[in-house]
Amino acid sequence: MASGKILVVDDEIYIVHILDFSLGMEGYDVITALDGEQAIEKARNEKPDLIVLDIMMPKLDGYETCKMLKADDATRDIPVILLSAKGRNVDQKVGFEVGADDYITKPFSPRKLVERINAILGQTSSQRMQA
Amino acid sequence: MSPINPTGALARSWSAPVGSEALALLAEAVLALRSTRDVATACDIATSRVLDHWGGGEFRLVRIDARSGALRLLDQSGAEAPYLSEIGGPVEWVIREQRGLFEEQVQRSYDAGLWSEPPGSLAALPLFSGTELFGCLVIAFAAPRGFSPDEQRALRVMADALSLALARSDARRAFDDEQTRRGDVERRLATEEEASSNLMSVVAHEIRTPLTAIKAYTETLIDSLTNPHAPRERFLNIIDQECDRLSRLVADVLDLSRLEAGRRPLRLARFDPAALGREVIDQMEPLAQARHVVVSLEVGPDHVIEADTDLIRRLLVNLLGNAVKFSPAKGSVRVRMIAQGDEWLAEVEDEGPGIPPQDLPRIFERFYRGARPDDQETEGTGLGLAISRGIVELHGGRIWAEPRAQGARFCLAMPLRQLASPQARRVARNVLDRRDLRSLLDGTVEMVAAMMDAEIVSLMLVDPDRGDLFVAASRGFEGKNTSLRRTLVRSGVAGSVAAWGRPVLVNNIETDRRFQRLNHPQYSTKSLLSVPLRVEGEILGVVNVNNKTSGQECDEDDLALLATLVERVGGAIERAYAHPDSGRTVEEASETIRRITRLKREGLLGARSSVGMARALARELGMPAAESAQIAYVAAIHDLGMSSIHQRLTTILGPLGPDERHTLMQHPEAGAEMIRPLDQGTVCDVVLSHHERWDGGGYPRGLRESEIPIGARILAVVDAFESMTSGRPHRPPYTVDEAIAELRREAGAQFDPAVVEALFRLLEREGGRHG
Repeated sequence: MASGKILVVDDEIYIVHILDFSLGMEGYDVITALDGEQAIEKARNEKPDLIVLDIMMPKLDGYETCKMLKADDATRDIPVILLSAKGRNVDQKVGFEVGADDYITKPFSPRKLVERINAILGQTSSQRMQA
Repeated sequence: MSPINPTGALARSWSAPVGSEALALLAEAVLALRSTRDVATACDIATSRVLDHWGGGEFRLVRIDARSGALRLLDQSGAEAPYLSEIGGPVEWVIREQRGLFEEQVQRSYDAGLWSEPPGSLAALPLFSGTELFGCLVIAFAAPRGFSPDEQRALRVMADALSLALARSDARRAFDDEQTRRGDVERRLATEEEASSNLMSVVAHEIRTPLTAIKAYTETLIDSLTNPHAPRERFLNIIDQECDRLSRLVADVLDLSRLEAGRRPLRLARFDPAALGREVIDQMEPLAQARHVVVSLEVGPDHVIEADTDLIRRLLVNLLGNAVKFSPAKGSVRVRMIAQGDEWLAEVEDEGPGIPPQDLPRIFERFYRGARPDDQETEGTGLGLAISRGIVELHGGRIWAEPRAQGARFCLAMPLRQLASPQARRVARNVLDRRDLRSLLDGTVEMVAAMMDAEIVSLMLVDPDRGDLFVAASRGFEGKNTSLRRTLVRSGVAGSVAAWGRPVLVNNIETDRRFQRLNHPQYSTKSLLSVPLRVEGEILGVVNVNNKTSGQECDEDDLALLATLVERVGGAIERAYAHPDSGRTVEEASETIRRITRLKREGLLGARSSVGMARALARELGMPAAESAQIAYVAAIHDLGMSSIHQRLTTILGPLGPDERHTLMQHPEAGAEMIRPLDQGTVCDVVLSHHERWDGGGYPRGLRESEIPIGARILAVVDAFESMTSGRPHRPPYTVDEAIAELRREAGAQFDPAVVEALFRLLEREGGRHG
């Protein structure tokens, strides 16, 4: 089983729920936020090991949130995976410019997202062995 | 106008003495009002200099729209918002009685919509322009107070002075409106294009959201088939729900695209909106009961509206559904409907969280989402209000939202009846009153039938008395269903062209989704063109063309040609108005129209293929669509002057005699002269110059290079190509390659090299497409 704390940020509640389930089954401890402001607060207070961050959100969008996380000493070292419906190269470029560590496009495969998270955190996958 | 002497009207009102201080203030205010031009300053003067003297007070200006008779509330900046007067309130009283009302102690209706607090006392005064009532000034004071005869007089004087200021500001605005109208049209066209591509990317994003959930849940479900702890039923429910959301989204996007102004003709019926309102409320009952929300309907005096029942039902379902969903438990939703002037006004009020002021202007945009009720996470598609706006605008109305102390209020105003504007009716009356113009319209139908090679042509005009459209002239229409002889504005294809002025081409009336359910059995073939006839900026009617005699479908070239022909007729009618000797002008235009008809029937005017090629070439050379259409039209008629000798030229063998050569050389001038009654500008010039040569060796004026109008340079190439490839009695036709080679040899001598190359590119592309 993997271990670690993941912050999942998305304004679509069902996406948050399913990631909570998938990552939970993998052994991760999952905390969630529904917008950018909440995400920054939780990142500071709960010190997650990794953040999955949606780009298109009301109030503070994923780009801005990522920039702020990377500008803050308390959170700058937490790896960020951007999650968005946009899939064009220009978005990826912007994603890395704001300091994101990886990028995955919607609709996405939860299985692949878990693999990426495991890779970044140096874990090996366990859950899929059951299937 | 001297600023010192008040006008007679003002002087009469000012007959009794008042306190000298009040008099001074009032005189100052009246003088200042006389020299202001804008409503904002006028309001400011009235409040600061007069009301302050009475110990404060608030006032509101309500004005009657001259066109519709509906009420508009003016704010201090001069901006207007539609206003629904309260039944039995002071505004209604003043408009009915046409005199002032002074209430020392407000006890009954006080037009609550105007004030934030109930006033203690109020004065309401009519505003007149000449003898015509055009509005109402209402002044409210916080506490009950008396109005002495002097004070009443003083307030009347202020109302009179304000009337003058408003009348002046109206005149100025009418002028400014005219100035900006042109620019607006151009900007709108650009915005529409942008909006359409923007919609695609927004829709793509919105579709990906449910798709993402479906994908994620499905995959997780598959991976957890052996996992006893996975809430599989919940996963399946979410997938099911997201599939529904996707379906709703697709349906709404389709609906919205159909609702874009001018794309969907209305199916109009006359019905009682209150009955429909009750029906929709009943339909909402389960939802409302579940939330313990009470929905009430308040209806003004009985009225019927002319509208598309299905669309209005959809509109009410959207607005009411929103109101109920956003209502707190045990909240109430109020629906009001009333006929005012020639408008239907409806309001839906709820007691929900309301709309933040910064969201108000944007909530009708597609996919714009403000705060959502907590338990409605996935229900809305973000298109409900955009669809509502589409429905209202398609009926020629407006929709807006207002904040309330608690909750939101959605208001809409639309015409009670779908009729042509008074301006269009006035122009129509002037046209129908003149026998020569009526005969010009008959000639137009014949010309259109000949030029478009059409079986059925009808010209529908605005009926000046009834305001709908009727068939004023037609060909091939005999024995057709008489119900097609009249239509309401915005109803059906012709009605929607008459409302929006956008030409319509339908190639397959049975499958085109704009016209599903509108098909009439009389359309024995499927092609249909409909274009507006504009005179003095008003849409006076439409010209409809169906069924080409060849049985072919109509295309964009046909539509452009028809629109241009009909524009010419509109121009001729307009000139008939302006010209001092208009009887002769009209007769000349009619003669030109008859000549075009005759020559076309005899096969002596431009071949159909040249018309399409001329337009394609103009486009290829980067000319705007409107100019390209005009060039296609010139291609169709430019040989008007050749008529007398054309027949002979195409049948004789051997060289021309001197007389024939002379006639041939004359034909550009003869043609330009003949077309002049329909066209004074570019078109005449092009006809006159289509035998000029690039090197200056042409006739009649020996122009060279860019002195020759571009249209004429295009026609020269098109004519030569057409003539070479179709052959003549004395020589066999060239192949396309031979013709191109010949044109290239003459490029820079007879022809504009740029045009020849454009033709080459065009043919190469077409060859590529077909081969």
